[in-house]
Amino acid sequence: MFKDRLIPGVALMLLSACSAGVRLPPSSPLPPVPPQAPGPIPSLPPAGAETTRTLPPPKRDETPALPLSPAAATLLAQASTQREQRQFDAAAATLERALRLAPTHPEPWLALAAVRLEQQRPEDAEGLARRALSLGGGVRAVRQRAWSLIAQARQARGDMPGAQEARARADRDS
Amino acid sequence: MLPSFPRSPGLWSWLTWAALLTLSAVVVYAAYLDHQIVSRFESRRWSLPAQVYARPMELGVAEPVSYKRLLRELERAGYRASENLRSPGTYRSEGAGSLSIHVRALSFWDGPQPAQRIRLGFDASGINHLDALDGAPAPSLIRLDPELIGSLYGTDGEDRVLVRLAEVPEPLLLGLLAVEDRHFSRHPGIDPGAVLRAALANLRAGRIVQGGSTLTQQLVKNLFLDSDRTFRRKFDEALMALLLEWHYDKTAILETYLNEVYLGQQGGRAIHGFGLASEYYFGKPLGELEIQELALLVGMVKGPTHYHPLRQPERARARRDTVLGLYAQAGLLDEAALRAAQAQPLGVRANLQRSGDYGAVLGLVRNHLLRDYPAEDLTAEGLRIYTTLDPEAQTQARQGLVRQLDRLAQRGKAGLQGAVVVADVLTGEIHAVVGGRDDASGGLNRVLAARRPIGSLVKPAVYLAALESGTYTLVSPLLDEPVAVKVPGGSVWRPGNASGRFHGEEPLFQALAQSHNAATVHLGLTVGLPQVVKTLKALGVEADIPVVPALLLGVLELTPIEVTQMYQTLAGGGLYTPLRVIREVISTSGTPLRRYPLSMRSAASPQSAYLLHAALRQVMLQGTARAAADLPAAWEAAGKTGTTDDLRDAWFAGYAGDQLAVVWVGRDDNAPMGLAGGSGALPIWLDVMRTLGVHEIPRTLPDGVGLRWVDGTSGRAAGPECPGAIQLPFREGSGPMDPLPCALSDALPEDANGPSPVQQFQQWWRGWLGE
Repeated sequence: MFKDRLIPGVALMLLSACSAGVRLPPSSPLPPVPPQAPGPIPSLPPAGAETTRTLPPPKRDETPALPLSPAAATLLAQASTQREQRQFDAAAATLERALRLAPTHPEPWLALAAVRLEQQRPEDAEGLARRALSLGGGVRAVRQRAWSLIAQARQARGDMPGAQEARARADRDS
Repeated sequence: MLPSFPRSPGLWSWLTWAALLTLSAVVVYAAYLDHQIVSRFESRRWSLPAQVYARPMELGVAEPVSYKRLLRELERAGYRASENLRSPGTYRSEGAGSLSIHVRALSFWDGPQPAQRIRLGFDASGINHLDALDGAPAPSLIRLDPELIGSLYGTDGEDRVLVRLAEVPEPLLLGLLAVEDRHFSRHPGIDPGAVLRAALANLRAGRIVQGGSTLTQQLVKNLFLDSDRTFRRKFDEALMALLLEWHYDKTAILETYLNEVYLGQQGGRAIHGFGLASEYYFGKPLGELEIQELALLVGMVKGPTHYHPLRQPERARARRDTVLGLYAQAGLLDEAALRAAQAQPLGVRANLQRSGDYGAVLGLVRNHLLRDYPAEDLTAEGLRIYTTLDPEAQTQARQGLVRQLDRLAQRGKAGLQGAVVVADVLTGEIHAVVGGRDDASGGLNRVLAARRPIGSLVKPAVYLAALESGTYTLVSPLLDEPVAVKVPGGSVWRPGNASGRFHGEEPLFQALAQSHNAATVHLGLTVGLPQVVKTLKALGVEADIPVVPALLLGVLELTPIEVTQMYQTLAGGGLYTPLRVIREVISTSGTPLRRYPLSMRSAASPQSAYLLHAALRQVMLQGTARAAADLPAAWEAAGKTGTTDDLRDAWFAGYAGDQLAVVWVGRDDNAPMGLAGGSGALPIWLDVMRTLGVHEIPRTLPDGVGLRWVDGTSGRAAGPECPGAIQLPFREGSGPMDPLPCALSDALPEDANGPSPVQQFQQWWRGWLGE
């Protein structure tokens, strides 16, 4: 086994030694970077933190680092009930309270975006969904729900091409 | 037989005429006084001022509230320590890990929250336990009393905490009457007997020891706030007191008196009424005061400055004890109770300054309310206004401002003023508003009123417009070279840099980080003024925008609150969120009236906003605000310095984690003060940010944006091995050029076709070795 690999191994060792010494001529510029492969985009690492040598490989679905606090979870459940009972203003008030308790969690923002759609406020809905994306866009489920809400919001405002774009984006993550 | 009149007809008619004229003069004068006193009385009598509250603190498991923080909040809300927790408004500390509270009954937008007793457990990260002490199921979330920060009363914005006669504790009423006006219920407005008794007592003592004024007369005096003690004044007051009693009954007069009596001064703000005095001196509602505390207030009626509890504690105490003695004489206290009460300390809050801090907030609240309610409603309907204000943030912001202005004064820069606004990056809620270094109530509210050129604070809008156009990246080369612009009128504008030097070609992010004027003007003119104006409007600037080249260097004039709105959109990743200071308005009876919901809309694409954020980070790391470079990296602090011509205004607008703050420093007379944004305003911003308590927020890379290594100075493509390399975001299809030699290691980027041949080999090789 080892013997089979010996000669190709030595040859390749010599080749690799040569390749390690290759440098691109300084005058030829690097080509512009081609588009990133579709997939979850890593978040900006804090300045000064240990960074990997190359761009990190596309990550699989991440779960959010922090769960919702019990109080925020209770408020979200309460809002959900209010929404089922079509008490949209009350649901919105409850969700805003939940938001203040858990402002960096995408869930209250997504829930409020959905309620805003029910309240006929599609511009707000799209903005809130975008906020959810910027807070938790590393998670596939968040992306899917956010883009889906954005699609509905755009549709409600009569922006059909925009809605279609958003729906396609949502489909990529479903 | 009739008495003999003067026979001469001339003299007779002269006397008649004289008598008639005098009579009519008196009647006219009385009618005039009548009109005065009635209109004054009515305006006070039927007004229910709007009460303005700070945000309530939310208590629940996993909430990051520490034991100490909660204690401060309880103290602020006038809760007192008690062993048995019998009454609402008490708490009991059980060591550093546990606190029990009897929360008062409260009512909010979503309904009432009944009084209840709870126990909280704490650990290093905050609350870890919440139990109910009454056998009821533990609530998951409890709100504490929001602090009453003021009332909107009258067009002059005076404060009141209105009390109804029925709400006033009996000891206060009876004691007040016993001390000030024993025959209140019987006299017609003036009490000649009291005047005589007072005159006798004064004669005996050789000086003024007693006044003979009735409560009605004192009320008249308070309504006109006139400290003249002329004979004419006393005469007017006596007459008006009689008129008042003729129009109104005793209960109406007494109630108005209780809400009008002058009980102290705090800078420019007068303390009127027992309700406000109770909050001001003791931090508690009137109904919770103990008998000796009530006695102190009653005693202060005679002279609140003379008997000031903090400035003249012995006199105040003596007066209080005298009043307690009068209480005993009147049969309100027995011997034992009297002694117990007299043994108590005064009980006044040690730091009275705090409660006057809110003038600027009240001004902002009034300003916002007037958009939706007519002015009369604000003073007559008893509205309850729940705001977003955080009293802790307010204190930190004000202390930071004062501390740093003091330091500047010590270094020779005296006479400076400042303004600070703190808002939440994600929700747009305003947490703190400081209108000046002194108590802003009654003074100038610079947050709303100081309209100044924003200088370099405008630049992020120029750069955002450029990034939105799609033709620029963060490393696009700009020319920081002399520029000459023809302006209407024929003259030529040649803006220079603050340093006087020009820097030649530099990457876009550097031009912004170092705030180079020439490069910005070149960029702005290329992008086009209309685009810059459009961007400013999208960011939320509603003021008039002058469409001239000098706009690019900030000839635009804004107030600190308007700047906060603009930077709110930037901090929020390009999402315009209207700033809010009011959450809800509830009627006096508890009916929800109006809610101000969270609203947001797209103002810039997430990609451009992200790129601009990275550039604003560089301002803090290596640019004009590099004094902030040692802030925790996780805060991702970003912002912009602003300096105007001749150094008249120093601005800093920036955000870190979830907090946004805008600071302005300058002189009220607009004279040059020799400080730039970085030296004048940034120290205040840093002070406030460090003490506020900032929470990190995640900022996910938007679609189609990736990070690339570049050289931190030149913007040339670099690699992680290169010294001084930083990572900057780029849109797909774009990237840094002209790589540095150190970049050409195995940090070659992969492309969409997979690893390069070199990398394929390396991967195979490693696999072969079994790595």
